[in-house]
Amino acid sequence: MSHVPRPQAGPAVVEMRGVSFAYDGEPVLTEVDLAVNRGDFAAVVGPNGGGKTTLLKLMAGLLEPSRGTVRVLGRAPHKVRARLGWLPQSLQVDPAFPVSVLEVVLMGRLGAGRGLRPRAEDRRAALEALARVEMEHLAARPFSRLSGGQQRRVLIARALATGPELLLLDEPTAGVDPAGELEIYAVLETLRHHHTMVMVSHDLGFVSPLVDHVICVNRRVQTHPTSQITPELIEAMYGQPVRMVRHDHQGPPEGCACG
Amino acid sequence: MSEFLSALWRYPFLQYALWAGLLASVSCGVVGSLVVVRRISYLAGAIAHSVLAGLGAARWMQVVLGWQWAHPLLGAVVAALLAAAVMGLVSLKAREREDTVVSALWAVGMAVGLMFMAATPGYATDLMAYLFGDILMVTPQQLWVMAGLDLVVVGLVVVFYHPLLMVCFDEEFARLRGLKVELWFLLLLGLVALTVVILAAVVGLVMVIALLTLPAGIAARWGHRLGGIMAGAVVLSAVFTSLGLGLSYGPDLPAGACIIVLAGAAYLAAAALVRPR
Repeated sequence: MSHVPRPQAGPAVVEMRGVSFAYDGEPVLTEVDLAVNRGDFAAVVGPNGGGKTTLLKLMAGLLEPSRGTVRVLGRAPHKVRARLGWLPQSLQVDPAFPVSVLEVVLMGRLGAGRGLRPRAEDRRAALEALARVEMEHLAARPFSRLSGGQQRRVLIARALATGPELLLLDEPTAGVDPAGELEIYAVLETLRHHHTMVMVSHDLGFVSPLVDHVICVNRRVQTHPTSQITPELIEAMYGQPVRMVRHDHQGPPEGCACG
Repeated sequence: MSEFLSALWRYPFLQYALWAGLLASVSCGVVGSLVVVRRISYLAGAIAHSVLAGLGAARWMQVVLGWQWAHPLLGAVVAALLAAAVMGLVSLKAREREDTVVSALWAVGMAVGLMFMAATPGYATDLMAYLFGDILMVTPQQLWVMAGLDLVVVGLVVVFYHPLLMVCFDEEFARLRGLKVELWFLLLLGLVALTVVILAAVVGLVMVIALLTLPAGIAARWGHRLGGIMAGAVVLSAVFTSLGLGLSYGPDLPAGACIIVLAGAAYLAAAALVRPR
């Protein structure tokens, strides 16, 4: 790939080699090879049940691969947990949970090695993270009183509060109304200049102007530079999901991280 | 009610009963709030019922084996903590069959308790008091034990408020922050176990689950933060136990049952008044 001139590209932030994963013997991902470089914004797309969230959880070290190796920031994912920012699937969090917005973001400042009680500097950092998603004026609000889109933005702020070197976002706009979706995309647009990001999304049409790469997941994985995303490809992926795994092009095109 | 108030001045056993209700309310409100927001009332119910095994076993050891130190209250604490550990591990490991296994442990715990009671000569009236609660039989020694358990439970929750909040809110994220999620879950169930023992003296093991969840459930309709819900649940629980005790005295009704009916009626009224968020 020596012909690829990517100015900000350094060593791979995420690297997967020959990774397979199975739930109770049922294969979810097979022989995945991919790389995400520093500064990249990659979208993970594909049909439901195709393994998008599984791929993200393997990167976070929440799941262990059945075969193959996952390296994040050059090490095993569970060793670099503290350097990851994580936005969970929307169902992971109870929208009625009694907690304030600031308390949620402070969770990104606590943890093993960071102490179990927030200090003044943690509050400052949490408010800064809220400002980056334009939510600092609602810091004292109950989380349960926010709209779906605002809740997702608070959870993005929690991920930012960890001071992450890699942001892993699982469907930032899931369960969010169209206006809220636009606000979240605006936030992502500003974040992409400062962070390496991998984002699971169901909405390829919306994300393709934002991202550098699209990682297509349907048990197998193919990475494309955004310039390669055509209406035909989108139709093939969502209309005939089985065909989509049989990418016919040979050799990695420019910027494509997998062969 | 006025009859109760005048009797309260005269009879120490009524004062003990009132203290028991107030002491129990502290742990009940604090831990009950965690049970409600983490949605583990089913596990709490199972822990409460399987405590009967510990009560029965301790009494059997006292009477048949002659081990005087094996007080039923000690048996209850040991059984509750053991049940919490077993249920916790089952809940963490046997994901899809969790409810089956928990129900089995619930019933088997009670069955073991009944077998020990049958094998022990003499009437086990005081064990029945643990089962259905007899707040009027509470002794000063029991009050000290309850106060000590309160101190442990509330102390742990105050010290570990933030990690407990993190684990209850989003287990996955807590794991990524390096928290040992399984250990925190087991600690939470341990707190539930100790609270169950405290409450057993007031309303009995069978009805513990109602007093654990109803005050917190009502408080959660208004409260927007866990700490506030805990405070509200403590106050409500103190009101229900005191008022239930007072109302039961005149017509000579079981106090535990009155407390639970009162709490249940208040919960229904709150549900009718305030729409859930």
